[in-house]
Amino acid sequence: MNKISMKSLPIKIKAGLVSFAIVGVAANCQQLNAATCSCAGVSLSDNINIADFEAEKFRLYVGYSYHDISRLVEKSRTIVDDTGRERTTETLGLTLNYGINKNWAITANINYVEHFRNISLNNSAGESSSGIGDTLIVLSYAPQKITPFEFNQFAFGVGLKIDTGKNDEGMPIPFAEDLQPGQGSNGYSFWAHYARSFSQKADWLFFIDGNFQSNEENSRGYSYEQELSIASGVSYSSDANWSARLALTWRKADAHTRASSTLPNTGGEWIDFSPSFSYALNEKHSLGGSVRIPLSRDLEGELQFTTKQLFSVYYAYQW
Amino acid sequence: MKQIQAFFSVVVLIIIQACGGGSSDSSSPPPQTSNEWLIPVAEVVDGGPGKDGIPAIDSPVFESPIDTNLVNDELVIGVKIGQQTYAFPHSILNWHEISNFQASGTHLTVSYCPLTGTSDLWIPPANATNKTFGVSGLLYNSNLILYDRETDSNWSQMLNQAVNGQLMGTLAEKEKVVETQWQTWLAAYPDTQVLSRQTGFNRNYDAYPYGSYRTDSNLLFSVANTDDRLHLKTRVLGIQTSQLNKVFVIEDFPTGVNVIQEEANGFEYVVVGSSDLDLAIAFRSRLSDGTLLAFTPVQDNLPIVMQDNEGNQWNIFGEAVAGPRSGEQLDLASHFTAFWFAWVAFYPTPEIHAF
Repeated sequence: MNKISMKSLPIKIKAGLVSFAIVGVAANCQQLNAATCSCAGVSLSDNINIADFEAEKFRLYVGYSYHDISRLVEKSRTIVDDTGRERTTETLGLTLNYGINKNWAITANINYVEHFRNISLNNSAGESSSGIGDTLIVLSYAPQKITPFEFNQFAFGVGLKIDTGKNDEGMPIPFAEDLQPGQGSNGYSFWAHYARSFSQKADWLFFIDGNFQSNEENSRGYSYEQELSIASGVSYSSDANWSARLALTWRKADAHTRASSTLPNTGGEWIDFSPSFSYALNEKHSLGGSVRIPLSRDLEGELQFTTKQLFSVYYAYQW
Repeated sequence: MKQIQAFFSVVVLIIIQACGGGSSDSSSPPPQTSNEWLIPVAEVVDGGPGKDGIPAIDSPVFESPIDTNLVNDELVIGVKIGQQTYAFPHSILNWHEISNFQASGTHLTVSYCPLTGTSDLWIPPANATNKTFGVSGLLYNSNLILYDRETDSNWSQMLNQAVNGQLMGTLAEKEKVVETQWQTWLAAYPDTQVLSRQTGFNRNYDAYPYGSYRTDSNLLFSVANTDDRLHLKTRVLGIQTSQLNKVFVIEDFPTGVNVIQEEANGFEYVVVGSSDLDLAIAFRSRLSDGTLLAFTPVQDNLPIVMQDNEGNQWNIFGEAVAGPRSGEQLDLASHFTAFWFAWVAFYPTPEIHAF
């Protein structure tokens, strides 16, 4: 495939590619993480960017993420885990986005999730669960997008989390909720997005994204309750078809409940650094990846396992 | 374009295959369980941490009282093996639930379930090569299910029985434990050894891992039976036999040592309790030779707590330490100190002793 040079393209295509790169990177929706438990500080909202669409265009993201949730934390302090715990979640995800028109879009996300848990104190092979996770459908409205003549961008979204996930792995004794592919409950969410460019070229952007989620109880009376996350940072789109995004994300999650009783050692606040990168092969295909680097956390209770490392990669196709 | 279509087709096929693979056979049953249980398996739950996610203490270190920093009203589990006594603080067992240790050449396992407030002392099966237990990560009526490391069988603490696995149906061989405040235990046994915080694990033993659970009105897991006659977390001494299901609320005992001697449907027992000493234990009052003793309390002479009509003096472990029967032991009446909700979960509609 011949490498595309931005300088040689007609301006319409340049503008289109710039727009694609802007929203594609500002989205960070390439982090196709588990659309299931929001344990360990991983927000379910990472999968979706509500401003990332073009009128009457489909965009399909296929991604993989690996999440190691084996860091043991006492409130804010990391402590040595002497149980030799392995705890990972791998996710294969699909996100399909369609621009109904220039202002409205609909997005659907579903994942295949595999959890694994093992304690090296015993000599067992560990426990694993796998299956389809819950489905997220988001309707977004972007009244204003960045163009060479408009430097501000706004978007809002409302979403439904639909209980499509498998929630009874481990039968006859189902695993605990954090080891299930799905939460077993429905929920709803709200998004808000703002971005600003600093030139007509719009190579640099500043952005703020907010997301609020609320979850119902599942059939075992368990609920992930509510969480709020705000991400802010900058992105850069180069003339050489690559883009980069740096974000700081703050997230606060309520303690989980069972039969309306608060469960100890759940919930808390996290601050993470999330760099991501994407490369447009051409105007239809792109690749990208991201990592999440925990910076600090203040967790409820006395002891929790949380993110040690998280990375994801994706392929996107637009038509 | 054809390449893209082919790629997309492959992606779709992968997803379809993944969806088909995400079925009930995509994960194997937990390796430690067979499918046969003596208890309703639908009422067994995964507590969350996983097998050994709460690590048992396998190499306990003991220290003298002078080296500890226990506070007076902190609860400990007291154990007496021969002439040596040991105290296992709740503050440590809240985080580990099990301590395997040896005393006088005997392998022993102390267990404490912080969710049900129950403690126990077992002697592992004699023919086992590995005579230790671990925390299975499973719960029944919120109560700890242990697993033995010899056969991987699962044991219900409050049922004192293996309820799953190769040893299913085997009864635990119990030894006596006394749960009381540290100051009471120290007064009774000043030469006691105390489980040290040098457990080999990194835990903040000054902290309680379950928030307000000890005193609030919430349960973390559902139970089979409920009863609102008492607050959920009221600590009770519960006695359960085929003839009797009765609880004594520990904080309702008068101050000082109290002795309550009763008979129910032919079952004769004596309860020793004290609210200020935070102590309650129960024994059978008829000896193996058929003698039915009559007991009265002994004050301010721990560990001696009662005297009988023959002139024998008995300590909190039911051992005759003075008198013509010196060296003899009273049999335990089957009992637990537990949170009220846990007792009724296992043994519903008990009689509540009226003081």
